[in-house]
Amino acid sequence: MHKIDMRDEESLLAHNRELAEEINKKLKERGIRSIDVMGAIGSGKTTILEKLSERLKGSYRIGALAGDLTTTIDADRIARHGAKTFQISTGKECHLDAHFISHAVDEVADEIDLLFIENVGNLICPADFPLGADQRMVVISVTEGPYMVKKHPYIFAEADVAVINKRDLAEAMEVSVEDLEADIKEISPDTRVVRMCARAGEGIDELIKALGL
Amino acid sequence: MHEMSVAQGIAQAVIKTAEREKAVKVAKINLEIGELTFLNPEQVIFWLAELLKDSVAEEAEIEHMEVRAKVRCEKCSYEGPLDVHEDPLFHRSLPVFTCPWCKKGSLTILEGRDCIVSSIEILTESDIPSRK
Ligand SMILES: Nc1nc2c(ncn2[C@@H]2O[C@H](COP(=O)(O)OP(=O)(O)O)[C@@H](O)[C@H]2O)c(=O)[nH]1
Ligand SMILES: [Mg+2]
Ligand SMILES: [Zn+2]
Repeated sequence: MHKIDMRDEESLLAHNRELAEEINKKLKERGIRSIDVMGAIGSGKTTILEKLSERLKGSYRIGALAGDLTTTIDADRIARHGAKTFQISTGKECHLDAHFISHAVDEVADEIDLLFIENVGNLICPADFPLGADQRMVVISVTEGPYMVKKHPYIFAEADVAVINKRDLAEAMEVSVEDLEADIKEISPDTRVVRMCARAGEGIDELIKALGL
Repeated sequence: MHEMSVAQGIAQAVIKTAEREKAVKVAKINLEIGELTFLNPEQVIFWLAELLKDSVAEEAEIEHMEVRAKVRCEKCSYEGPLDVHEDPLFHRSLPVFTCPWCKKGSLTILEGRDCIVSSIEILTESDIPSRK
C-alpha cells in the first residue's frame, strides 16, 4: 500500500477563488466597479437593481448579469431601465461560479463601467463560490421571517452591504426590522445595513451611499 | 446544492493521481471538509462513490475529517478557532461568527472553507503477489 499526498492538488473551491481573484483584477484594470447581489428568491434583488439602474444611468454605463436559472425575466426587467444586460444561464446549477462570470466579463468589458451581478436565489451555495466582485450585497426581506440572519451567518459576515427589504410589510409579518439589523451587526459590525421598501424606491439613496456609488 | 460539483472535482483529481501513480486499485480516499463550507459530508461521499463507479477507485473506502475554522480578528488580532454555540433552534452546534476575544472586530477567514483530498492510499502492481 502506498499513501499518496494530494494536498497540493487544487480543489474546486480553491480554483474558483483563484479565478474570482483574476476576474476582480481584470475588472479593476478596465475601471469597472462590480457588485455581487445575493439573496433568497423573491427578496427583491431584481427590483433593487431596476431602481438602482434607473437612478444611476446618468452617471454610469451599467451592466447587469442575471443568474436566473433558466429564464430571461430578470434580465429583461433590468434592461428596461437602461442597463445593458447579459443573461447567464446556469441551467440546473445552484450557484454562479467564477467561470460563468469570466466569460461574460470578456464580452461586456468595453461597454460598461459598473457591473451588477444578480446571483441565484439561495443563500447557501453562493457563499462557497465568490465571483470576484468588489463588493457583496445581501438582500433579505421581512417576509422571509425573523431567522434569516441567524441561519446564514457567514454570508452576512462577508457582506459589505446588507439590505433589509419590504419594511412596509414588517408589521403584518410581525418581524422586527430592528432585531434583524441587530443580528447583522452582531455577526458583522462593519457591514453597512440599509432598510428599504424597494418597490416604492425608499432607501435607494441610502443604498447608493452605502455602496459608495 | 453543490455537493455534486465538488464531488466531480474530487473524483477527477483522484483518478488522475491514481493513473499517474500507476495504481491498480485505490483502497482509501481521505477527505478534509472545512467547517465553514456549506457542504454536507454525507452527500459529498454519496456523490463521490457514485462518480467513482467503474473506475480504479470503485472500491475505495472514503473517510472524511472536519477541519475547524480558523479566523483572524482585524481589531484585536486574535487568531484561532471560532466559539461554538449549541443552537436549540437548529438542533446542532454552529460556529459563532464573532471574535472570541473582543467580540467586536471583523473576522477574516484563514481556514475552514475548503474541501480537499488530503491523500489516497493505493495498490500498485508490486503490491499484488505475482500470479505465476
Ligand atoms: N411589499 C413589497 N414588495 C416588494 C418590495 N420589493 C420587491 N417587492 C416585490 O417582491 C417580489 C419579488 O421581487 P424581485 O425583485 O423579483 O425579487 P428577486 O427574486 O430577489 O429578484 C415582486 O413582486 C416585487 O414587486 C418591497 O419593498 N415591498
Ligand atoms: Mg430576481
Ligand atoms: Zn477581536
